[in-house]
Amino acid sequence: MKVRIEQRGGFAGKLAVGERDLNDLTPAQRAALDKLVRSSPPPSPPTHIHPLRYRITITDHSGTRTVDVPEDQMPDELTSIPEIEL
Amino acid sequence: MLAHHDDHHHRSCGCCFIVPPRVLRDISRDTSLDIGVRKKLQETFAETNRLKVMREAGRIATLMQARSIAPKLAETTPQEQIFDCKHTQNLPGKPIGNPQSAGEAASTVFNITRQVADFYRSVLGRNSVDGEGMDLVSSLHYRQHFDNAFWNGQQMVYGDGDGSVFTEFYNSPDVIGHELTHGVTQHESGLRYEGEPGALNESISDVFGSVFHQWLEKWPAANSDGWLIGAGIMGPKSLAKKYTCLRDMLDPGASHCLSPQPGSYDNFDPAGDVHENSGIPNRAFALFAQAVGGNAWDQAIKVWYDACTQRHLSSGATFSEFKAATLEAAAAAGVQQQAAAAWKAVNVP
Repeated sequence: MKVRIEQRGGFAGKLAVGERDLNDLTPAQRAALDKLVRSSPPPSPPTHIHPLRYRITITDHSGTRTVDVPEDQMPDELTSIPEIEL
Repeated sequence: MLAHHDDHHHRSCGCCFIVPPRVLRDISRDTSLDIGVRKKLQETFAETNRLKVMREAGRIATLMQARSIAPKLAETTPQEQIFDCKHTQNLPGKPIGNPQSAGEAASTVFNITRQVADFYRSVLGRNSVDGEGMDLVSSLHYRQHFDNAFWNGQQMVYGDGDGSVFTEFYNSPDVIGHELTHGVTQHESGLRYEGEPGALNESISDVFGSVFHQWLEKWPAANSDGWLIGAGIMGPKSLAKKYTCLRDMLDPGASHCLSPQPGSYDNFDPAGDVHENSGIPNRAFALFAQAVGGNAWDQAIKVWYDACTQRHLSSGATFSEFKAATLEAAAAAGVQQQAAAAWKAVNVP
């Protein structure tokens, strides 16, 4: 069971990706992820130039789900997961 | 096909909203339609709202400035205001009373922002981002390890970077100049942040940001250091991999770029990020400035500023339309040959 987080956009325009086993998330990360998936943020227009955009894909016993999250709704607990690959 | 109504005079007709946004929304809820079609309708509906928000942000930013019914007796000098977000998303954050003695971050942003205002005034005759002396507000330490900096229609916001790939985003003067120039573009052509106009929006910010940095360091156009974007924000991991900058306007595809870009319209990617395709007009300007010679702030940047502000650039301008505007401006300045050669080198039709 895992979560994959992709980050795109921003000033740098670089793709950042991170994957974690759901069991390896900290309690705060797990809580933030669960809350995000439950709330399923609706598409919203960006509030500023070159926003970051996130795509979260969760694969668990019930299948695969994808949630697109705008920058201002992405919790800080999860933003450290995607890393830019150099 | 959706189109966009343009408030400015423009050389090619921008489009008008033929289908009202609420109709898009209502149709997208029709379950008898293919899911792919419904998704597209939803995306288009979201995009129209994005455009409205961006325009409204610009309109509000303009209206927020105090307007007197009496003629101005003296020009307003912009004040630099610095705030600390304390690693939250709250904007603008806590005011920093005396930024020049409040640590390196506050003093750097305060001083460089003031110098950007000086650059616009002394080189281009422009009084601040809006042309009317609006105060320049900057917020530092936005969120945690935030790999971004942005202009939100009213102010600047800087992240501290992740500390590995990127350092603090105010560490490069060109980045500060870049972001404030988004505000200038907002008050001028209002280039839409997508496709070719979006890439132009990004390029114009790189152009003015880089020339501001050159002006600050007194680097002539021939100095290749002056064409690097984001050299100061490269973190230790980036430097260890031999990346010296985020972008290189003179050599957009160079291996030392953390974000290589195309340098020719032949490689324009219609699905590409606006920060990718901006490499094409970036290279055109860098070649133009070097062909003109001397310092880019003496003549080349003034041609580009003329094109951005005096040639009725549409918010939906294409590369070709922007090229035409710069050629007009260059002709007025007696350097059309250099401009034509630069655009030819990047194959913009």
